[in-house]
Amino acid sequence: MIDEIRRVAEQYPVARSAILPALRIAQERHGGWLPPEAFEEVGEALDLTPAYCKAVASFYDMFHLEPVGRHLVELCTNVSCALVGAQQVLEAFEEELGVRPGETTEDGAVTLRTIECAGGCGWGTVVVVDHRYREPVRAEDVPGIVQELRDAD
Amino acid sequence: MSVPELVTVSVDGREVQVPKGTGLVETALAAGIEIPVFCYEPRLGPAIGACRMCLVEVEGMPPKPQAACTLTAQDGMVVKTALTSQLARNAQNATLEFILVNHPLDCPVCDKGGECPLQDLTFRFGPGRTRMTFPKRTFDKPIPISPTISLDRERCILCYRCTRFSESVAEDGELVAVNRGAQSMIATFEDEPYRGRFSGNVTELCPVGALLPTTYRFEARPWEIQTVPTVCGLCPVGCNVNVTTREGKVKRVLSRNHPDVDGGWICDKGRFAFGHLGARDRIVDPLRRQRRRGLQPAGWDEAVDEAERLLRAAQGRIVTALSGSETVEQAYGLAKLMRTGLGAHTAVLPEEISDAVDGFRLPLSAIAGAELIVVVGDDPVEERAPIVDLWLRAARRNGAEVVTTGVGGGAKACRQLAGEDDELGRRLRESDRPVLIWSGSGGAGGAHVAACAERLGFGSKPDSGVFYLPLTPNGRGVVEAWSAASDDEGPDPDPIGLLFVSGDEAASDPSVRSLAERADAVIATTMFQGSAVGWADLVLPGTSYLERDGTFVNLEGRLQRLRRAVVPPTPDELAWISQLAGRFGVEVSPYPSVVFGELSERIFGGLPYGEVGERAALRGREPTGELRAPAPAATPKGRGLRLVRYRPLFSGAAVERVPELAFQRPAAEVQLSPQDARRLRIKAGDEVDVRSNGTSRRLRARIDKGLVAGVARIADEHAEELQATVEVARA
Amino acid sequence: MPQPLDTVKGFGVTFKQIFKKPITQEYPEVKRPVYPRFRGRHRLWRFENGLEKCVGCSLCAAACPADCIRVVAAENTPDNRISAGERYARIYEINMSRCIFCGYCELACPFDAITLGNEYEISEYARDDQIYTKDMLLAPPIKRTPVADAELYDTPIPYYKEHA
Repeated sequence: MIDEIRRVAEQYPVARSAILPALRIAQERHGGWLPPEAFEEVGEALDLTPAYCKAVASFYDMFHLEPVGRHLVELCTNVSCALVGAQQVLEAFEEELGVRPGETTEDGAVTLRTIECAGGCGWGTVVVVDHRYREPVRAEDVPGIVQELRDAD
Repeated sequence: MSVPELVTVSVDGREVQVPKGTGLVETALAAGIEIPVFCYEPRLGPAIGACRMCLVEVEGMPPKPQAACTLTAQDGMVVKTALTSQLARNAQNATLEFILVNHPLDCPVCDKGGECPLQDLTFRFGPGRTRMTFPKRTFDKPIPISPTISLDRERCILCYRCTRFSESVAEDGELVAVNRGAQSMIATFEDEPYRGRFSGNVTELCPVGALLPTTYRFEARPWEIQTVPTVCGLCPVGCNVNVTTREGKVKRVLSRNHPDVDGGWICDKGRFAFGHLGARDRIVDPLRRQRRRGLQPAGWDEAVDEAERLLRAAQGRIVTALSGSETVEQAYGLAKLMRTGLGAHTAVLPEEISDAVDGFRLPLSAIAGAELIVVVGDDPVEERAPIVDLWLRAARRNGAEVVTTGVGGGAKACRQLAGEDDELGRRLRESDRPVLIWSGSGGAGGAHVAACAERLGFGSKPDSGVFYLPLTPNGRGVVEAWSAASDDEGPDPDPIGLLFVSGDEAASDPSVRSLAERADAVIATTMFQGSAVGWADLVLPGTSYLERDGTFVNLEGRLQRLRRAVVPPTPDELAWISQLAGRFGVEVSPYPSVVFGELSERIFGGLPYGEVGERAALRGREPTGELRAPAPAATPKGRGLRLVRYRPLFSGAAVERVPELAFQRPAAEVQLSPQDARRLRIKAGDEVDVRSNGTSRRLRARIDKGLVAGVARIADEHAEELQATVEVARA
Repeated sequence: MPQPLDTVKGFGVTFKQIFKKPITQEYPEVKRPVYPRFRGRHRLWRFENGLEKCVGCSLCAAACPADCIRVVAAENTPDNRISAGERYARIYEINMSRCIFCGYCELACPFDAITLGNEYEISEYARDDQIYTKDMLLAPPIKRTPVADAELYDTPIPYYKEHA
């Protein structure tokens, strides 16, 4: 992994600029989240301190500092989606999965998160399932999506 | 250097002329008007405008308040501060109200209370009462981000001074702001302590009580303390410090900005090592060896009598071992006693000092403006003279190139640099502002680098400089004082009748200890029940630099004034040196001012004691004759790697007695170059065996990219008995 | 020049006093009540749950014009909790022989931890005994001073004159 990061870093004038792609690589390698070791590895590869890597990662929403499930369900609760019933969709997910936003189901299958605008305001409510947009999603679509995820396992 | 263009700026109707590009905060100050700030600190690099306290109204700019710290003076600028602008006044008032929304009402229990910029500015610019009726944000507190610093996140106002210090002054990158927006907070990585040589400076930078020194926690309030301006006596830089005392005890050490020496930063050793004053094994009474009963406490009269008896019995066959931590006055007093009183001219000096470097003298701050800097020698600069390392980092940020060379063979490297066909030497010759620094042992007091500098033509370049980093805090001063006391010379005594060991550093020197084995009797002056107690016949209690009055000479050759912060638990050295000298018909005053006066006539050009000054000036360059470098010491031959020892910053008698600094002590590591590590198949963090005929040490490997191939660098305290060449293999 | 008549006049005044009731009070047998807000010996207070109100902030020491208060603070730990906040006064001393009973300490205290009571009988045989420690200040003082009816002092002056 360190070599992979260094290869990416070569494309930048300063190695430090490669921190975002490097963290992305590290997150993929560590099962979708960034454990403390990941920061040490990225730090070593780019000649940065682990503290600095963590500071950067904690700033961005799409880096996860807590373990996530095998699937990630992210739901926009920003204005446009809220106007077309994001709250109901969220509640449907909460009921279907039995977790609150930010939590992972007990079997480690699905993590539910709320996010700010994902840029699909014309087709709210936007739900991002494993980095793929589903839009628009209504509360009644939720059981189907959850079933789909359970089947995929 | 070109003279910058002057511009006229009007601040609250007062016209002021400043160089173009001056920050608006300074411009206002030049007009006699204060713009309040929290985050603004020019020493931390470019302003970031994080706290919004400096809002002012600027005519011609958008009609909203502007952050003054991020603006620079332009011609014809019209600035209105809170004094004349209602807009700015409202903005500052609102800023403070916002800052205080989540700031706890801790002032009575907070150590910053009474010397807190947030308190002061709220009093002057802020709202009298809060409209915040909701519960405030809470955190666990205090969080020890290191054994010496505690962090209170509730009090933090996110000005980012500390993280900017960590990122762009100390460049350790250990202290960062994590999360975003309202959730931002200052943190270290996981639960790791903030490990850095300069970490303590963040406690001084913090404008609120968020980062505070744990050693000062609940110790005193600002109205209960006295401040003594003195200099730090733990390394040859001689940082200017303010010592805070309460009820006769040192409570903390703060920096006292000398822009030419330390730039307002001090290292953690200087800041936190004061705890050694109250060490449990501190000697406060003289100890005298008595037959079959070992060392027994003795009264001072008895001790001085005994010292006189031992000195007389030695009949001039005396060797004096000096530490380099004595004040100039002490060393001179002792030298007068030994050399004029007893005719004993032999001394083990703490340093080899060559006056050759004085011909290339520059203030330390000049390093920051240098163009090309070459560091020669074995020791990492930050271990030997930490503040010099900060200057080097500043130079690098300013675009200078810093090259380290000659690890394991500095003298040879110097010779090579001065040669005709050396690439680096050629660039030094061509550079307008080159600097040479010798960091390590075997430098012949700087004679090697000075000779090199002369051959490189530094003499004709006023902005070039040579620095020699001595090993001991006042080694230069001590050597100068010793040689000023007498012009006579004497043969080395054999056998040695008496060994006089002055100070803990000399006492822990192995070569002094081997002399002690050959001596008939030993008198030692030490602060602690350390190594000297075992083999001394008479132990006289020593004092620390915080307990002395006198002068120190730092590595630049700057004479600085040491002031007594607290009264020592025992009479200081000069008191009994004076008493003892009297018995041998030598007049030594017990007052440092008098001793200095006498010495000053000889070596400091008659400078009066009172004029050494709070912010000491640097003497000018002193022309030297033709310089000739001494022959370099032979490099040991043998298979394996050359062992390079260095004395870590966090070591020595004082640091060992401060438990809070234990986490900063050097790890049991061996530093290897990447090439050697690859050849030996050693990875960073591996356990390795370091062997040299007969002895072996198990250490952890660290790969240092700055190290040349063929050497293994180990801290003194971990190298122990290892020989000059070692073999390193994975365990 | 002798003035026989003036001398006789002077004695006249003296003789007249002989037949008047004396205004001397037989202290200490008779103790005159002090007014309710009289500032006497200090007292440190505890909360009802037994924790000390004082957090050792030294503001009283800062306010003290006679410099008679000495506070040395220390940190509360979970197994040694003395006060409600982070810190407490490990040492709290008032040198009563220096104190001028101005009450500034009481004003400065952000936690109402120190108040001045009514006791004024605080003489001692030794100066050292005049230094009151924290334990002495926390303990309720022995009541020896009668305090006048508060009503009497908190009423407008004309009323007082009428009823005195």
